[in-house]
Amino acid sequence: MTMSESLAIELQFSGGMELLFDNKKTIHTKVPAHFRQGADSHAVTIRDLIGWMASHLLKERPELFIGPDGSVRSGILVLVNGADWELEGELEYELQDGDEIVFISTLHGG
Amino acid sequence: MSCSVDEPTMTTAEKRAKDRAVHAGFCCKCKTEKSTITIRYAEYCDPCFVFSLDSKFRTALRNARPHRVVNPENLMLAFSGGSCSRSLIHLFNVFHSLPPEVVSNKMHPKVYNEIHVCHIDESSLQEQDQEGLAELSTMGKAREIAESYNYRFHGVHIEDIYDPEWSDSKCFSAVATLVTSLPKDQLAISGQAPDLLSHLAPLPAVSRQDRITKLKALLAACTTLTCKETILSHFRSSLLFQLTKRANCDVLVLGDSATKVAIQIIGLTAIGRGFSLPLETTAISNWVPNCKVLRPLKDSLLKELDIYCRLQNLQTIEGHSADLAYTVQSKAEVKSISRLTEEFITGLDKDFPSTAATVCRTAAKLTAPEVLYQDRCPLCHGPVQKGVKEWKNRITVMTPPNATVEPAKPAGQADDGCCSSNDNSATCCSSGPSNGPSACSSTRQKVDDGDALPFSSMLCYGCLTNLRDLDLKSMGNLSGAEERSFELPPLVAEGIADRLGYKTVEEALAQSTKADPRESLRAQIQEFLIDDDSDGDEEDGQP
Ligand SMILES: [Zn+2]
Ligand SMILES: [Zn+2]
Repeated sequence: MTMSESLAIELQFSGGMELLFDNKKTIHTKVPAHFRQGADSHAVTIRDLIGWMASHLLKERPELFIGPDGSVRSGILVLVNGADWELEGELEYELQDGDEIVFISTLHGG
Repeated sequence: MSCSVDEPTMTTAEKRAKDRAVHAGFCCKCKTEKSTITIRYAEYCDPCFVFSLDSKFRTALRNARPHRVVNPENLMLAFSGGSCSRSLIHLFNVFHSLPPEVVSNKMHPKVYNEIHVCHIDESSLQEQDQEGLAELSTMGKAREIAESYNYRFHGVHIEDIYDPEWSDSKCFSAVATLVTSLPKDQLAISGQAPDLLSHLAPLPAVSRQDRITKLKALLAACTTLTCKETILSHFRSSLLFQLTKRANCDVLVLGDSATKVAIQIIGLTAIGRGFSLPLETTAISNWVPNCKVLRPLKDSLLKELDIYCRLQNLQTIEGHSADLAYTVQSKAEVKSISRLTEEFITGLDKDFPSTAATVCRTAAKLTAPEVLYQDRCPLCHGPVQKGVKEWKNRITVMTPPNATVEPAKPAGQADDGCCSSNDNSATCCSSGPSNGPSACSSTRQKVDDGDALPFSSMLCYGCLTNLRDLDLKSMGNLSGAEERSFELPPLVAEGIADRLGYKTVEEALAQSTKADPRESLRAQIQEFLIDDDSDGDEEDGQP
């Protein structure tokens, strides 16, 4: 694997999340397959993805998306290929090419 | 398989934990599918999750209705557009598509008669210019969703609270304005919450735009986001009850989730609404006569309902509830108590998944207050705790009104050319630096004290507390200042008239122009005046 490799990821937003991402419900994007941490590089995880989204895709009010711990803010539900991310290792889940990641804001539901 | 036999003393939670240990990564129900959803430590596959949510809903409905249904009730489902009420509609449809009662016993009568859906369109409060409003309207989408289930749809706009048609009598064509018992110059220095009195004024037919303007004026007079949101929530529930009654429904069904209820429990307690808390959070409430309130989703987390919507492909309406944050000026006020509580609960829930359930369980032990509906608070229509006023009086130093109100002089008689007219008084008394406040007020003419009715003395503790965040400068006062920048809607005016025993809007308006406010105020605080015969000035130590 070379460092320039990237993964095709489908991002979906609902429950108001889309308002932070240019009102798009779906974004097809390419993320780097590896992230560098000091001298090492590791396969991209959801943690990396969240940070990457905050700096590359987020249009406004990052505090509504990313928390101080680098995870999503509480009240945002994350599904990895339809499954609760808590079952997939949460932040440490390693992204695969073609993954579908869903972000649902559960706040202000009525 | 011997290891999977549960001991009889195990709690459900322990059984679940054991199941998980044995079948980690697999659904705790069918134990064969890989789990995709985790709810409070239990893991489910998609079909088992849907099944368990559905059975939880059926159990809640069964617990809320009599064992044998003799007269099937008509239901009104309140649909905001969010995932909870969206799930509610779908769950009812599933429930009625294949009722187990019918399958097992063909003679069993229908459980529910008609199902209606209602929606309050709040798009007029969104931050948007006139042209964009139609685009933001949620009414059409809500109607479409309701009608896709063949449910009768009823819609109302939030600003219709200012339409006499939406008062309880459908024709209470009057609004209420508020006046403070203290003149402005004293408001600034006293630092105390003054008594609020009300005036009723006829409300001619108004256009939709006028209603929006009136509602926005009221919200603008609220100095905090909490105050705005609380008042709006009272209007919302008043409209929901009206919608329910008008469609001849017996039950108003709300989609409140466990998460929402937990947030309500903490948030309402924080804003002084603990007394009516059981009515606003229990699975079933009977406060409003002939209109039960049901919360069949109060055992399901917001997360569960969000997932349910996603799995069942249920469309929700984005931006369905007005975000009023743009209406507050200061950064500090962008967060209301309910927002902060929401963040608090969801934050806790992230690490301690039983937070919401635990809060709900604890509050479920509260019992509904025993208060008569006819003694309800005119603003929130909730129960008024006996002795609110006494209690407030005990902890607050109130200024007797006759200490501050000058004897009335014939209207229109100028005495010093300073405060003789309404128009002048505003510029002179409130902002004129050359005239000392005391000099000015001593010669101030009373213009409009002949028609005030009580108001704050009728409120529940929660509303009394909330209205402290009303900008007093937006009200008139008994000593002449007449700038009233907002009006309370007909439903509130009607509540005031109701409590005072007036039967019709005409009677109330007629009485409203007769009553002497000092008398009515004095009557209300009679027992708290130390010596009623002597001059209030001396007791109060005021010049
Ligand atoms: Zn299963
Ligand atoms: Zn109240």
